[in-house]
Amino acid sequence: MNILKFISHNSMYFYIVFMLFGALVGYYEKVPVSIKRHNAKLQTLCLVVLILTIGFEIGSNGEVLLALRAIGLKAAVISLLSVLGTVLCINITIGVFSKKGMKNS
Amino acid sequence: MTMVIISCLLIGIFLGYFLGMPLNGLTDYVITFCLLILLFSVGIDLGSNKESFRDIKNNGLKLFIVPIGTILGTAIGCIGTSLILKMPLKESLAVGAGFGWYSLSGVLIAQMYSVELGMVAFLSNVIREIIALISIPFISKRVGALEAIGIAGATAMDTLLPVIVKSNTPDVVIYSFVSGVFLTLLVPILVPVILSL
Repeated sequence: MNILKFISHNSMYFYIVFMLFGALVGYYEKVPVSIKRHNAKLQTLCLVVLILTIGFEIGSNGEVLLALRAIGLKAAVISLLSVLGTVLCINITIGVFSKKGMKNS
Repeated sequence: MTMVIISCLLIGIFLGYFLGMPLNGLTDYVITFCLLILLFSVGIDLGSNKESFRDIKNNGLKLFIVPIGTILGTAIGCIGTSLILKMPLKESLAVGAGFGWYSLSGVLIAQMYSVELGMVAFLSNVIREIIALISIPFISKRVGALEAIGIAGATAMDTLLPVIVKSNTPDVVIYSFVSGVFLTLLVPILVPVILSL
């Protein structure tokens, strides 16, 4: 249990390391066939368990359910402004680069 | 897939609401364990796509206009949100840093910060994907292909790749893929770093 506790308290480092390790293993083609064949299923399974667990936490947490309206507003504004900002930033960057002769395909 | 995820979320909320027993710490371990496997598995997918690494070598820095613009633009949007809604900047930035990858960013934030902000992240990134789905054909035609790819964020490499390809000439696939891969790699790095500020 202590190892589990250590890992979940320092989870951010482990997440990054695991992902990079996976990328290295994938790049050098050292993936065991059994994992490679079922990789997509493995992802779906993890995702389903994760989302169920998070749902459980949300459902058993009364404060979140009460704050649903505020949560929705924050979520909508963040995504709308992010999309606008993204379009503007890329547009401006392309404008700057195209003066140097780069084409926007 | 989105339907599966949303139904799982609803089932989970339903179970949590009616069973409602505190599972002290257990959910934390389940989440950590599943996330480690998931990220390892996504890493394998990224690493196996050698073409994208080759494309980066051949096309150079041009390919990074989209992901860098997406990061900056999203950050600007999040700064704007924190000003308008008087929300802590760190919170809005962490939500934005999901770049549309709602399953991961929602779970990461719920585990590391608060369930409430995790819910914001989940919803916000679902909305980003919906906006992308609706606006990519229009933006591609009226504004430009690269801007459209930016809207898709991390999902430009998988879920939204078909939409982007259909709305543009085939040569934008490289841009879309590289941008998606780069942002996907960044999500599990950026979100925890922002939250620990």
